[in-house]
This record gives sequence, C-alpha cells and structure tokens, in this order.
Amino acid sequence: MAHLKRRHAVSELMGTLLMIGITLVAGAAVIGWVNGQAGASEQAYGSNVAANVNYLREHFVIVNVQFPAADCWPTTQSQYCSQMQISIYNNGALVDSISSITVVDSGGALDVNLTSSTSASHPPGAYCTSGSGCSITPLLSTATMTTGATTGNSPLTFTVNLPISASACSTLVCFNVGSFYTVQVLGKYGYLAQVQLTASG
Amino acid sequence: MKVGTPTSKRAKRAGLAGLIASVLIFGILFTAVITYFYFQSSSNLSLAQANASANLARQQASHENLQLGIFNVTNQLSPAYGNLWLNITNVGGSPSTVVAVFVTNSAGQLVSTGPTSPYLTGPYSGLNYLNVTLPLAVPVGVSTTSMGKDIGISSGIKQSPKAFDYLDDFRHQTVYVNVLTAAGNTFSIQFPHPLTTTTTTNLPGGTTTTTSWSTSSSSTSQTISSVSTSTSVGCNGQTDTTCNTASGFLVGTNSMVVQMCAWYSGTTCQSSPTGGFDGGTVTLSVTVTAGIAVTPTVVIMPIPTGTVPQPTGSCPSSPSSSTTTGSTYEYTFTCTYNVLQGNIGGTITFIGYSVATVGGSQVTSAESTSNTITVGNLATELTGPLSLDYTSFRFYSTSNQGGNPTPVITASQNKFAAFSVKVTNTGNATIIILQYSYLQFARVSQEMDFYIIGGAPSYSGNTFPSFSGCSGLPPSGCGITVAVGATVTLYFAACQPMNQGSSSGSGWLWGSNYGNSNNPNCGTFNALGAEGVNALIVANFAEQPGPTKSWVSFSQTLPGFGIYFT
Repeated sequence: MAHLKRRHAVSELMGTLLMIGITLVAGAAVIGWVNGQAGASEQAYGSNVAANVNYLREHFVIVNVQFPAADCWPTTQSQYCSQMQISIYNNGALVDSISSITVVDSGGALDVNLTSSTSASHPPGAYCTSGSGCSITPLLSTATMTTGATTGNSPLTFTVNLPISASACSTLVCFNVGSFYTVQVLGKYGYLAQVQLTASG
Repeated sequence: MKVGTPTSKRAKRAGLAGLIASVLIFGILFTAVITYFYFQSSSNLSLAQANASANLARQQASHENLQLGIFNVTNQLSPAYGNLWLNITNVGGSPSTVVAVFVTNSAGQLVSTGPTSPYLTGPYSGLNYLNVTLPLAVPVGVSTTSMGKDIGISSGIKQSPKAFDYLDDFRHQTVYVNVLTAAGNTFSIQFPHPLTTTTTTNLPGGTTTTTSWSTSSSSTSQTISSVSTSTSVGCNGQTDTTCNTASGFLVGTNSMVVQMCAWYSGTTCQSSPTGGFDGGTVTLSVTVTAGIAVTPTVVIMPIPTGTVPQPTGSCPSSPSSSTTTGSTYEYTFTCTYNVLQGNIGGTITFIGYSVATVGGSQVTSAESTSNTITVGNLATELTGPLSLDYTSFRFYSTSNQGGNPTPVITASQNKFAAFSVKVTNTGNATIIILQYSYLQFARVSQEMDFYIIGGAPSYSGNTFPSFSGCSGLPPSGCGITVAVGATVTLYFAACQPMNQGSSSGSGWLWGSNYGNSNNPNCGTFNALGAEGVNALIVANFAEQPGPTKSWVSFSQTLPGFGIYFT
C-alpha cells in the first residue's frame, strides 16, 4: 500500500503540474492571439477615426486670388499675367498644410498642378512638366498654417509663377486677363476649397 | 476507504489550480477586451465631437453677418494724416471674430501692404498699421463704435508705416476694405462711398432700409458728416403674423396677379375679337398687379392650334408703363407677336406668368391665360359646321319604268332609290357641299355607299335629280351652296344601272361615285333586304379661310342613325 501510495502522490503532482503548464501555455497563446488581433483592429480603427477626425477638423478658405499688376503685361492682342497669388486662411481646428493647388481654365485644361512633392527646381504639373516648369513660393511641402483666432494669425499667401514671357504667351500656358479660371486647393486631410474667378491684371 | 482518500485530495487540488488558471485567463482576456472597447468608445467620442464641432462651425459661419461702415478722418492715428476708420456692426446671428483687415482694388489686387503680409492684424513693432490688435471679437448686435474699438487703418502719405497709400489708390481708384473673420467669411465695403447720397436696401419681409449721408470730399479724402437711417416695413405696413417675412406679401393674398389680353389691328382688347383675322401682328398686353413695389419680368408662352405655326415675337424685359394706386402697383408689358394662319388656320392663345425678386426671394405669380384669337375664321369648320336632322330622313323608290316614287321598297325588284336628309349650316361662313359627300349604310355583311346627287329631284317622267357637274374645288362652279344658318335637303342615290327612261334612253346612272361619274362599284340598293342598318353621312364641303385665301376642303362625319327597311 505504501508503494502504491507513493506512486499515486507522484502521479498526482505531475498531473497537476502538467495541467497547469498546459493551461498556462494555452492561455498565453490565446492571450497573445487576442492581443494581436485587438492591436491590429485598434490600429486600423484608430487610423480610420483619426483620418475622419482630421478631415472634419480641417477647414480653410481662399481669401483672395490676385494677379499682381507688376507681372502682367499687355500685348498687341490681349493682356497676360505670369503670376497668381492665392491667399488661404486656415479656420479649421488643426495646424494644416496644403497638399496641392490646381488651376483649370474655362476649357477644362489643367494649367497648373502643384503638389506637396513639388520642388523649387523641377516642379511637376500639366504645364510644369515641360520646360523649366512653374514654381510656387513657399513650397507646399514646407508651408504650414497655424489655426485659431490668435494674434498674428493671418492668411498665408502662395505665389505661383509661370516661367513665361510676353512673347511666349501665345504658345505656352499663361494667365490670360479676362479669362475664367477655377482654383482648387486640396488640404492635407482631404478638404477641398475652390474659387472661380476671372483674371484681372 | 484508504484507496479513495488520496483520490479525493487530488481532485480538490486539480480543481483549485484550474480555477486559478481560469481566473487568470479570464482576467487577462477581460482586460484586453475592456481596453479594446474603451479605445473604440473613445474613438467614437472623438469622431462625434469632431463632427459636432465641424457642424457648429459651419452653422456659425452661415449665420455670420457684419455690416461695415467706413469713414475718413485725419487726426485719429499717430502719425496723423489721412487714415481710414472702419466701423463694424454684427448684425448676424452668431458672435464674430475679426482676424484680419485687407484692402483691394477693383481688380481684386491687394493694395494693403503690412509689414509681413497684406493682411493687417495690428500694430507691428510699435508702428500703427492698425490701431487695434486683432483678433477682435464682436458680439451679436454690437458695433465696434460702442465698444470704442473702431479700426483705424494707416493710409496716409506722409508717414510710415502706411497700410496703403490712398494717394496712389484711393484718389485714383475705388478701393475695397475687407474684413476677414475667424469663421472664414469676408465682408467688404467700398471706399470712397458711391457718389449717391442715399442707398435703399430691400430686406426680407418687404422691409426697406434707406440710408442717407452727407459727405464732403477733397482730392484726398472723403468725410461723412452725418448718417441717417429710416426703415419702412413691408406688407404694406402690416407687421402681424399675416405678413410673409420671406416675400413681404400678406399671407393668404395674391402676391402677384397677371392679366393678359390679346388683340390685332382693328380690334381692341375689350372687344374680344374672335374672327376675321387672317394673320399678322398680334399685340399682347400683360398687366402685373402687386401689393408692393416690385421689378417684375414676364414669361409668355404662345399656344397655337390648328395649322397656326408657333408665332415669333417676345415681351420686353421691363414694363412699358407702371401706375400706383394706393397700395396697388400695376405694371404693363406690351408684347408683339407675328401670328400666321398656316394652310387652314386655327387659334392663338397666350399663357404666362410674372417673376419678381422681393427681399432677396423670388416670387412667381400664378399662371394666366389670355383671350383666344381665331386665325382664319375656321374654328367652327375644324370641328364641323353641319348639323343633321335625322328625323328628316326619307327614301324613295320607283320601278324601272319610271313613275312616282313610293315610300316602300321591295327587295329583288328592279328599281332605283334615293334618300334625302336635311342639314343646317351652323357655322359662321358660307360653305359649298361637294360631290364627294355620301350616305353610308354600315352593314356587317356589306358596306353600301350612296353618293350625293344634288338638290331636290323630280321623280316624274324622264326627269331625275342630278348633281351639277364639277371638277375641283370652288369657285370652278360646283357643289351645293349653303349659307350661314341655312338648311338644305341633300339627296343620295343608288347607282344600280337602271333602264329608267331618259332622254337618251341609254340607261341611267345617278348617284354614282363622286356624284358625276359612272362607277359600277357603288352600292346596289336591290341587294338590300328587309333589315336594319346603321346610316351615317360623310359630308365634304369647301370653305374659303379668308377673303384672300384659297378654298380649302373639309370633311365632317355626321352622327349615325338607325334605319329599318321592310
């Protein structure tokens, strides 16, 4: 009986330890899987919520679009401008930046397409891909707009320059005084502001 | 029993360990799930808050409305010379915060030049580009004057800084002072003020605000010395709940009423012209009546019928005359149209309505219809002028040897037959019944047509009715003339060849097809037995659309009637 009793004691201990070990291993596996799934779900859901929240909080207005007279010149037939200044005021609820600025003429042609990847030397764009390209100051990639009605917070003005001269306006894209243009400004989080205007030099 | 004792102890230990492990696992899982749900709840809350904030911002922006006033003084800012002063009154439904002021010219170009930006936000480095530091909150219903914070803009010529140089800008061109708010709205005011000394603003509800001011101008400045505002309430002065604040009209009343009247040369609107018009210029008088002063336009649609083509012409964009009687405002538009008759003619009617803008809202009147003008005098003829007296229907027969007609027809006998019926011209013009008219027996087994044979026949001897031979339309000389209101008896006959005596003795055909030719295919009456038939008359007639027009033929099917032969 004593021999049997010892064997029973060892078996009982081993069984308990095995059961606890298996339970812990299985539990750890379940916990790990649940944590992983929850983390992935949280990340996806969080990203989605963040994108929506940012989109809702993003808002800006195009205060003014002008064609400075100093960069307009008359020709024998019409008047053209090589510069457009777009003033944007951030009245959203976050610090913002501009993703792209496009200018479309009345015929639907894309005259200017400047994005945050536009560099000062070789900016891309419908017209800007050829020749030396147009440029924008400040660069969209570096310009940020503070928010809120705080002291000194005023509209940020972007200057779009077309590398043209009066003689080139007959063959290349330029801002034609009297023509109708649509200016679209796309925010970092997807908000789109748009104005339509007739160029006046 | 001893064997069972250790077994019992083992069971207790195993249960405790399992329980502990289960609790641990449950706790860990519970914590993970709770954390996830908490995160999700927090995210949803953030999203809802962002959405609510965005909606609130849009709503406040839509309710924002600032009224600007600008005047020029010379001794308010330092350095003191030629500065503009901006007065802002919040007349909107939400508080406003002014964040920047900027000046543009009529071309939209920025002429303000601040130290860092054209958008002025206050003094800079101790220099008064503006005399106040923005942002500036303006509560609802409050003006910056009452707050003691009218915005002075340095614009002189002999000092620095200057936000813009009115010697370069103001004196030579009109400038616009713009105010940018935190909500993103921009409000503008022109300077110098328009040379008119009175402005009238139409507000919703028909309210009119009249602002008058007197100014003194020099080569470099314009000063408003006094401003007065008077307000008149719309709805003819009535301000209770019956006043429609959107339109300014009284609720339940006709806001605008349009009346139209058309006439042509030689007639008047009041004479209700209905005939005798062969086409030409039609004048349409459109009268718009309103309870308040409006600037109406009219939309007119000509509605031609028959062969009248769509007329050309239009109404002027503004009324030719206007009158005011008490609180009734009446505007008259005189429109002209060139109306043509077409091949036959018809009618012309005009339908239209008026549109006006009152207090920023568009008001449209109910649709109105003008009187109808007959073109070509054929309105009745298009539907048929002949009226049938079916009770006058008679039939006649005789033997092939001639003789008096008897009112009884016996089948299978060699005979001729004739039918008569009376018709009346109910139209308003003389018509000529043509040889193409016929009487039809609409039998199931066989359709029978009996053509017209002319006026009253005589059935004695060798005489018989005949239709005067004709070819073509009048006035080539054929047909039976029926004056307006006159009643004639039409005769139709079978065309069965009959050996009825005639002067030539060669047979006798009458009532043949088209009334004047030998057509053996026309109806044979002796095929008709004792039976009932439905009879109808197709009358062909000609009429002259107008005194100078060519004759035109028409066809009218007279209502059918039943006949029974024994």
